[in-house]
Amino acid sequence: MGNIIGGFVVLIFCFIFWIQRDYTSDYGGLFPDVVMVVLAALSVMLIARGVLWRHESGWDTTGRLNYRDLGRALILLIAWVISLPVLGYLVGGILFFTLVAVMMRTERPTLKNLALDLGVAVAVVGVFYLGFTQVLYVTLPEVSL
Amino acid sequence: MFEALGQGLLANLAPSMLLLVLIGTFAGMALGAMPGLSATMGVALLVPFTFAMDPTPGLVLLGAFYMGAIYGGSFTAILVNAPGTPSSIATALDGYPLTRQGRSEYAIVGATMGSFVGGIIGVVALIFLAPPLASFSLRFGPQEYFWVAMFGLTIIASLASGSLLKGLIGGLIGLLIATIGIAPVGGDVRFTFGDPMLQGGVPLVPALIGLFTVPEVIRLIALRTRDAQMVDDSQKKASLFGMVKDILGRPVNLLRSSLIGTAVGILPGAGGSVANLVAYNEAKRASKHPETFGKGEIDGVIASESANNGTVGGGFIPTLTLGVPGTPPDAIILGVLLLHGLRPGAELFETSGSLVYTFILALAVSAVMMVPVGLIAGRGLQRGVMALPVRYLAPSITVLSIIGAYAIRSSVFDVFIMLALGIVAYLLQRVGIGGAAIVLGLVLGSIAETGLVQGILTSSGADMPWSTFFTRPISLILIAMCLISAVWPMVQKRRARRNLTEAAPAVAADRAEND
Repeated sequence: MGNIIGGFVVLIFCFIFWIQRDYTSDYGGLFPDVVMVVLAALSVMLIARGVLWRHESGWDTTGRLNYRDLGRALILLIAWVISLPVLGYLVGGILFFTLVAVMMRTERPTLKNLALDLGVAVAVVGVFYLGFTQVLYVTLPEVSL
Repeated sequence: MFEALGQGLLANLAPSMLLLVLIGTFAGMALGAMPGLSATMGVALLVPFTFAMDPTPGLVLLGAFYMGAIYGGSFTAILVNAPGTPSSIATALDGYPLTRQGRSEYAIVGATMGSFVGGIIGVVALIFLAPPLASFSLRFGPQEYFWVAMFGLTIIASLASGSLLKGLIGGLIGLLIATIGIAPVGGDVRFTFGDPMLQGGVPLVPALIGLFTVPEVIRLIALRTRDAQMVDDSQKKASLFGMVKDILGRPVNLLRSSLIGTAVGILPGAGGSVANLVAYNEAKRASKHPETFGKGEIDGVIASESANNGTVGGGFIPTLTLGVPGTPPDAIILGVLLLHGLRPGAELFETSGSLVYTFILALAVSAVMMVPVGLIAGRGLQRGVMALPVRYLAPSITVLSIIGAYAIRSSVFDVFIMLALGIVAYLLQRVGIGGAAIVLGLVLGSIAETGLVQGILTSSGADMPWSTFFTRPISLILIAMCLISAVWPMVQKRRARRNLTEAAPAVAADRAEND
């Protein structure tokens, strides 16, 4: 089933690029068109393989995660990145660093644990923030509430 | 030449110069270890500091910094699967699996010794072979660059350990992503989905972090502390001397990879990001046990790191002799040379021989200094990372990844690209399409497209412009190399299968005899 799903996902990916084709020069589409056609052909081959060789699962079984844990991890990471323009690097970093650290604990979080995780978050994010903004002069997103 | 070389050697032995090289090497290493801060960016940041210096110490500092930055990229590639620079892509392929096996110290030592040998061989080539190699590199036209990119893509056959079909799909996805933005020839704005931020294309470093690091962070966070194990602690630790001896006991890999790095460095535009992948592929192809590559094979780390530091010396060959920079940091150093009124060419070696050889030998001194500095700092960093609980390590990697993706263009959009590619890479991994093949396509995409389109345009007067890709002598050699590289993994697999079937009856017969 993995091969069939993978093949269809790649076909959709090709389709999204294909409908975006809008070239203004003679050679602008030469390379991407060839790549898209070959990629689509290979994804059809992958689907065919999934259909014909049913014994091959097509899934990569290493480090498989359950959907609940995966969903939680994805939501946290997406929220962290999306909040970046609003919360900035420092505030957002401390907040989500603490949330991730607390969430990764298996025992019920106590006030002491929470304080420890917050302290580590302040230290780590603070060191990176100061190092990059004050030493390397790299500007980082600031809070804009 | 030898007189100037002697003067350069004496200048490098002065304590003030040694201190300058040490500072440059260490600062370069520290910067190279930060994902997102490339060697190019670091060298560019350093240039204003060298304005107030004399040309010789200024160039020496820049050279040592560059050498250190290329090496420093290996640390995060090995420890947290985040290549600090695109030159360390292949280092992560085996370095990180070694970390997960609890052998990160071994990988760090491998990277250090590989970088040292690569750096020295690159410098030796720069001293003795600069003029002939530089003129040879000028014979590479667009057609040859296209075939160089194709040769790089044949590495997919090696990288795709599970399924060649899925490896090819991954590589083509990378090539397609590389076409986003303004076309390298013609200037068409393509596949931007209406977003002007995509006109500049998908930046390489956020893509690297997304494709390599984010899937690992997702895994660590999702598994939580109960299962999330960064390393296997059961491995017995070897002594430092034993590790160094073991690494140096692989002279063929060290030499071959360093020479590949030097050769690729000479080609303008290719650089360490291509060299490390080509050397990795060749190491795997030549190995007696290629199946261990990608699963924690020290030869993979050695090959990648020898090659990327080999490009430092190699890249300076066309830079100093022709004024054509081999790699992006070379272009910045070329600018500094011009700023001081030094014009590249054969004359530079005659009129400013002492300065040039002091600079070249400083690169070698920097490569030597990388060994003690790298072994102390690298192993210190390794122990720090290993001691950190996973619940702090995962968000720390995320914090660093966000900076890495953001710092290149000071753009939050790049952080979005990193995350989006990371999630896509994680999902594609589930169906067996690995991130390494996608990265390969992404790195080589623009080289391949530029070569293809320019090759056709430059030969548009011919009856069949396409035919020029198959008739030029160097192209023919490259085509032969492509074919060998593509077919070799299949030959190896077939040979291994045959050996297995031949060995099975013999083992059975032995058992029967013993019974």
